[in-house]
Amino acid sequence: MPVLAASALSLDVSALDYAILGIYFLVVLGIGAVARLSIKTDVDFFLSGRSLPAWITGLAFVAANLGALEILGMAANGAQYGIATVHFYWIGAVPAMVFLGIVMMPFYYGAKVRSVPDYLRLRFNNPTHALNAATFAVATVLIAGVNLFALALIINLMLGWSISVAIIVAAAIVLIYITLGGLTSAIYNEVLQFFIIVASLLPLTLVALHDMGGWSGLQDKIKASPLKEGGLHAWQGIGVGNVTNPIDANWIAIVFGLGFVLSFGYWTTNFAEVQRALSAKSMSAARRTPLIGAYPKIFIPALTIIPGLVALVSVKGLGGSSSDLQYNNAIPLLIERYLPEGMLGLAVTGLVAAFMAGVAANVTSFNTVFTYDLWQDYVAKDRDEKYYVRVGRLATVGGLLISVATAFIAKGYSNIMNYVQLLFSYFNAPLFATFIIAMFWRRTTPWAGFWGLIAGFLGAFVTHQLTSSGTVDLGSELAASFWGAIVAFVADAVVTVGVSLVTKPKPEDELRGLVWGLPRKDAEPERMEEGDDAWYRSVWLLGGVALGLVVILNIIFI
Amino acid sequence: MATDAPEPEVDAATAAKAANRFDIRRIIGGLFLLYGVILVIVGIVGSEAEKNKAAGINVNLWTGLAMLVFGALMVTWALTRPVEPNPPR
Repeated sequence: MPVLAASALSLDVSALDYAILGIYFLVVLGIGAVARLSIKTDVDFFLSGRSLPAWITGLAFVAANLGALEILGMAANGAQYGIATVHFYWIGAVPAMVFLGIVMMPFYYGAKVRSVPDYLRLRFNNPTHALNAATFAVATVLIAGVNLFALALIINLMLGWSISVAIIVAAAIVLIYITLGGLTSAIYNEVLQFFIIVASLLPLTLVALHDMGGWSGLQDKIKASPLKEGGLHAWQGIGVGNVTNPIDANWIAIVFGLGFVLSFGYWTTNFAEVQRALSAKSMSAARRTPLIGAYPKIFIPALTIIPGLVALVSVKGLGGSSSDLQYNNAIPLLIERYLPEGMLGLAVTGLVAAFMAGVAANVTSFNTVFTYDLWQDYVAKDRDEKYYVRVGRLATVGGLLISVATAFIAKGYSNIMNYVQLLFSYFNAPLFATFIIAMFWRRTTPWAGFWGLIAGFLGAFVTHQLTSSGTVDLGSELAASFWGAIVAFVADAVVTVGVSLVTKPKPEDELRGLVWGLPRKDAEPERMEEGDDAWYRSVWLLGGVALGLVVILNIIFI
Repeated sequence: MATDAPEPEVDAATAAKAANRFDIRRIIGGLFLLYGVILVIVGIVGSEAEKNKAAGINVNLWTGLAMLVFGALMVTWALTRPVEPNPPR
């Protein structure tokens, strides 16, 4: 078996490869320029005029997350934890996406809210709304900065540009196409990026797999690797008190922590995701958005985990102390090894496109929450639509400038940025508890929302402090984050229920359309597009088949 | 929705034409066709070393062909089922 020398990673990029990247940049900017022509109202800019078909919003839904650190991070997890990485997809993302489409979307889309915080304003009160909007805005801008820095790192690694130049070029391109075309250009680019990333990762995966002697050849090599047999199974060694799987977490942490709390929290309440569904053209299309997104999500692990595993067994010293050989570089290392001029350019384009789409998803959700939930609600009410589009464009510029500054700070203190990201993941886990209780229990009072969120955040924060200081041992860092999420969820739920019992609930009339079992009185008949009632567009069928597929896959890789 | 003076009425045919030019399926299809042509050419004229770099598979050629097929499908879909302008709300 050929083994890569532990040499510095740098790709031999030719003029042709640069041309392929250049063409992509031109198309992206062109989309922004054309999308600008269709923007007449604030709804056009922030929600694409609620006009997109479900297959576009569905692919954008999954692509908004496929950017950022997802591709490199999941390949790294594949190399580090093996097949068990599928839990992030099959017990995490997919069930959460099905739940969002079938159960939660009617409340979001039906109430005509313009953002996730907007729902909290209607369901609870202004303090809850302001708390959530402000933390979301701050967190999103900071995370955009982290993504920008990661993008610069990968450009630096692959193309040799300096980190500062890479940060500025990437930020400038995102800035131009979002400021011009708003959410429409972000979503179009996400869909385009999705296909480019598949077009580059699929051949890379097949070639790498072929080189390992197919799936069975790869399995044999994994058994001989440090992961051993455990690297080939998702559901073994997870008994409570008898944990031997590579993730070092028992089934409670995996199913409830990762699956139920972390993933449901992320996919159902993160506005960067939900915004894509809100831009759909009808209730039916909005509900199908996450369900359509679930199908590619089921198969994406093949494109991230397999390259990670191949890198593990064929790159000598992967995961060691050399910075070029860290787990995160699994995919770039394989690109260097297998892809000739031409495909190399396409692969670099795919990764750069994925990262830019990640930053753009952060930025478009930030400018919407900033403009609608902070500026319009608390600073300048009742202005005309053009005014808010202008605020949105300025917020885009401001948000990106702060992100660039954060990216430069992250350059000096990358571990601090990890910490910031962790800190804000604390806000996501409790948010799901608040939503689920609020939607299904009418009695939940306005102030319960506010104090529940605070309690959940504190719960996660305290758990993290206890585990990182070594006071409590909950297994690996990853397992500890699962437990932190569970604690946050329980703390939020207990306080939400407790406060509800001692404070005054909202009158039922104000809750119509926002909670389970209380439809709006004036409910206008749902606007149906032609063919929305076709059997293959039934949300139950789409969701059921997706869940069936993950059950089968889990059994295969048990 | 718009609060300004009424927009000049664009006739339906022009609106449909504009919506179709900006159809994402055409953009994806066009880009894939272009990339496909580039990769197929590199796959044919490239050096032996480049052709064999991917464990002996001519990955440029095969990916290029696959992208051509996919691009053609996207363009065909866009042409046979064009975008209808949004109904007024």
